[in-house]
Amino acid sequence: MKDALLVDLFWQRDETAVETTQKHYRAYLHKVAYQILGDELDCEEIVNDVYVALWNSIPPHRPENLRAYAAKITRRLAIKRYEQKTAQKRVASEYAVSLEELREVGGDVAAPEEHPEELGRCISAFLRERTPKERRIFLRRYYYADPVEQIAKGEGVSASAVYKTLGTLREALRTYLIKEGYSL
Amino acid sequence: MKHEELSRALEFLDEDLLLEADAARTATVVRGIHRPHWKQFLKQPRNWISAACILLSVSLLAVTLLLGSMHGFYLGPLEIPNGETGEKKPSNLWEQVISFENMPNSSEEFSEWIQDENCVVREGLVITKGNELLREFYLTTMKKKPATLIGINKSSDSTSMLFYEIVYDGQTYLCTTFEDGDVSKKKVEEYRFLNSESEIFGGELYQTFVLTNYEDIYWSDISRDSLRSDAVYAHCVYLLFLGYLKIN
Repeated sequence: MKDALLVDLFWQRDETAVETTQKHYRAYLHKVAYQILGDELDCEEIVNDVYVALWNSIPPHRPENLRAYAAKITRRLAIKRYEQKTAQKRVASEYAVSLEELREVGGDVAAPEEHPEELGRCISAFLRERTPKERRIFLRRYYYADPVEQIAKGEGVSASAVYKTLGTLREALRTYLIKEGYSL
Repeated sequence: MKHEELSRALEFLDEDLLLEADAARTATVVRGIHRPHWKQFLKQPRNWISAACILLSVSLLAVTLLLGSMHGFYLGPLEIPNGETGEKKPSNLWEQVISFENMPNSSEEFSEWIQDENCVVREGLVITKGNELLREFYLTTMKKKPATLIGINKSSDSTSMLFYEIVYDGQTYLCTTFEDGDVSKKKVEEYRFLNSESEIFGGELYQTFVLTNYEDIYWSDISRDSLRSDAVYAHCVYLLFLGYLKIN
């Protein structure tokens, strides 16, 4: 079923919308959550929470791409759960590793003046200046928290090449953000 | 700015960028589930090595099977001894393949040699070495039936050469010792003149090692078969290598 029809079902408050979403996207959403949390049980809970969130947010929202929209919610909820868990103990997941890598760009000092939406737009602008391949590598690593080996396989390059690209991108992003007035 | 904030900010990236990455990601997942497309397969240098190994492996297997079906399979030792010194005795490669009856009246050298319990093996070598047609004859015909050695004749210079005939299936075949092809040809001609009643296989001259050079011959045959063994072993090595690539 196409996403538009599925969104229509949500809008009509048809409960089969959740079942259909589950049927089509459960594995995908589970994978998104797993890369961040690295725990099957947590992922199951998060994915179930995503269905509820979709039910509650559509309407009023009408996402053009339900898959991306659901992935975004999954990521948000998973990161929230990740932060709760890391307050108690260290979490072993691909996201934890990718987050460590981002430390090179950001840092340890909080700077509450930045708005995430604005920062997101700034990073979008940065990414548009890069090649499609670099964009894919960056987002797969830092948005979807995909393992480097998997990214390398998808791009048809070696893992070391991906690491090198990521290093270059982090450095370039840091320079870009400083230039845009961010305090790092 | 903390790096966690940076990560959270990615949520607010433009949707088309996310979709672009997601499409690439999905394609990888799909490729991971299903058999990779050959174009995708050949994109990676490591796969080129795999493809070359597979091709080589299949070729080796085909050659091995072809040679094996033509000449029989041999999975003996890989070691190829020094043919000139003949320090190591070969295994009884042909012992089960050919046998002779009616041991000949022969020169002392030949009689002495023929009494050796391994003479059958050596006779086998006599046939297999030398002219390609004669070898082919052995492989296609004599291999299947026991041959009968009925006579032996000395040449004029018996110290360096020995002629003998093998009659098999109603036809007489001439074999001889020699060190040098040209000399042998000359001697065979001489023999032919002296023994005009003999038929020579195919109306041509054949040069076959026997006696004095038998060890050389033997090692040559070992080498030939070892090549097939090499192919078999090499094939196994390549399969292991492919397995290693698959695992890694």
